[in-house]
Amino acid sequence: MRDYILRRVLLVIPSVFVLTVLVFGMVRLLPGDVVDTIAAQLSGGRGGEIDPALKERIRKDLGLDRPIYIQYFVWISEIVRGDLGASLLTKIDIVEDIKRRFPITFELVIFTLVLMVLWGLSIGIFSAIRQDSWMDYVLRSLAILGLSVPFFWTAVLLLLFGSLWFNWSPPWGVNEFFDDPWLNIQQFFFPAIILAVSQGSQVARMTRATVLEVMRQDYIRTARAKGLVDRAILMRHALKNAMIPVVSLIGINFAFALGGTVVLEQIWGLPGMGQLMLAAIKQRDYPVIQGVILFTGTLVMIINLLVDLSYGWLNPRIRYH
Amino acid sequence: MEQRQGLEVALEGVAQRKRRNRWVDFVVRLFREKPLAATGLVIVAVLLVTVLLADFIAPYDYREQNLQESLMGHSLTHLMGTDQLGRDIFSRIVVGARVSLVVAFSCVAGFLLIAIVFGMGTGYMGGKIDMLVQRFVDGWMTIPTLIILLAMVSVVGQGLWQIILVLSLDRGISTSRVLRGEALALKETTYVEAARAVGAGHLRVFLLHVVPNAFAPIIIMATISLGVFILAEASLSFLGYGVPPPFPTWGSMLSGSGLSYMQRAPWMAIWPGVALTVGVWAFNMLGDGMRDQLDPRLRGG
Repeated sequence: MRDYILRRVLLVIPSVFVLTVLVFGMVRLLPGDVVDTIAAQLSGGRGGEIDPALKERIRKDLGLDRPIYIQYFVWISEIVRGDLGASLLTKIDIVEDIKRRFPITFELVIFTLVLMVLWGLSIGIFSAIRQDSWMDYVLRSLAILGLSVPFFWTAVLLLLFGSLWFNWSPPWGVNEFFDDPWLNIQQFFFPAIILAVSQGSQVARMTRATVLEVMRQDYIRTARAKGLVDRAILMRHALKNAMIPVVSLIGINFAFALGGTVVLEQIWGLPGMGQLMLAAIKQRDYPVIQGVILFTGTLVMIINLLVDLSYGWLNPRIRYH
Repeated sequence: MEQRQGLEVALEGVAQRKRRNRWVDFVVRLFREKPLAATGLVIVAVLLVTVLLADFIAPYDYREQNLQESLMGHSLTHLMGTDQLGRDIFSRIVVGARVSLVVAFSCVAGFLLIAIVFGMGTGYMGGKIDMLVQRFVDGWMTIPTLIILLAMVSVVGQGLWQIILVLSLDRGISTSRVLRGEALALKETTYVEAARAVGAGHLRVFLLHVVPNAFAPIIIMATISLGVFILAEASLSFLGYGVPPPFPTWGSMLSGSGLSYMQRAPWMAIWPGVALTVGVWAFNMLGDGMRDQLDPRLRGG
């Protein structure tokens, strides 16, 4: 196990390096001159007459006037010191901004993952133990429908019918969980369940397949032969094994939920990182875009690492691979 | 006795299958064994016809404004009602299908090219290049799709071709791993070894033996991706970074005016979503059915 952990942790280093190169290169390698767009943005988007002095200043601000490898080292040494720079337009420190907004996004993501696992596991288990019954078909169709309905549309419909039929609209602004748990849950429950349902079918499908597979194993037959009741077989033997692949899906779904928050925070008016990202993209505020991507990328990497480690712990066969 | 019969039936099936065209046979099997996938196929066919004949099917010009008839509900003259500028929603959805499918199919071409060169090519080559490319893919995949798409759009700008470029680049890189795995397995087959032994060059082996034999996973990947692309394009359009006006897209019809008028005219927010859901569902079901039919490991599972 120690070797496995060490090997897995060491693998993170090249990935982090690649991530920084990607984020760094994005602004410099993709077609389109960043300086032009920022200058146009700063001068009010009138187009046409952009002051060359302004362009020169931006170029200097971004450090784009130096050779590319020096730019990279300067940039990376700032990041290592925990400095992501400041927004071009608002001059707010990016690290501070992320620190303030991250808890909102994180709560939404965690809420989503919990609901997703609950929804996926229950559908998967029920459709597996009632294989090929009408319930199996209904549940599976429901799961696939969840995958096909765009989650931003579900969100729109929820707001629409909430207000048309129940005169309900979600509470706005920041409501801390410990100040007012009920208001907080009202605010996070619906966006979380929308995201959970839209992605939970993967979990459901995986659970169904593994439960079906596990139920065919010899040790389940042995358990049944010695007189164990079905419920105990399911709980003690089948579920434990079915959980393993579900854990591996959490990493992917974490990334998906982080992407989904960009849309849902916008619709629900939650001032999280997604809103920060969207605003930054609208204003082409590249340091903020880079900061957010670097932060979410590293976060996903850490989650993937944790998932892999717990996977190796749950399933000893992986470790010796 | 029973087994014998089973064998005879199977042999007869093989004989029959030989006589019929491969594709006809595939469709027949799809309809018999996978009713849901077949439904998907029918919807896709309807969508394709709609796209080709959009100008004849749409009763109005999608740009035609008629302020006297704005925000009207369902009627015989306007099947799905009208929007705030009096434009016919049904016509806009029909034309929107064209944008969605053009984006989806162009992206499939683009991402397959990238995934085949990037994934299969480096998988076949192996060694240091493969290692480097794989670490690059690792890094790429840590960034949530929607975020990386938005970031790229913010750099390359907005437009039909930019969207296609960005979507196929992202999908090509993130799916290259599956095709790489395929290339790794095919590389070790005896026929590749034989081809090498008689003196075929690497490029020839790759193009004539490795790629064609990965046909099944490639076609499965392509079908599944169609739905993914439609959804991704709609998400970007919904956020205001998709295909720019005057083209109506299902995603952009949902956002902006669709959102601000939805209390007074709910149909503005409902129909584009229905179109989107049905389209994506059809491609998902078709992709699922294709996978079950083309992947022998999954057959009967």
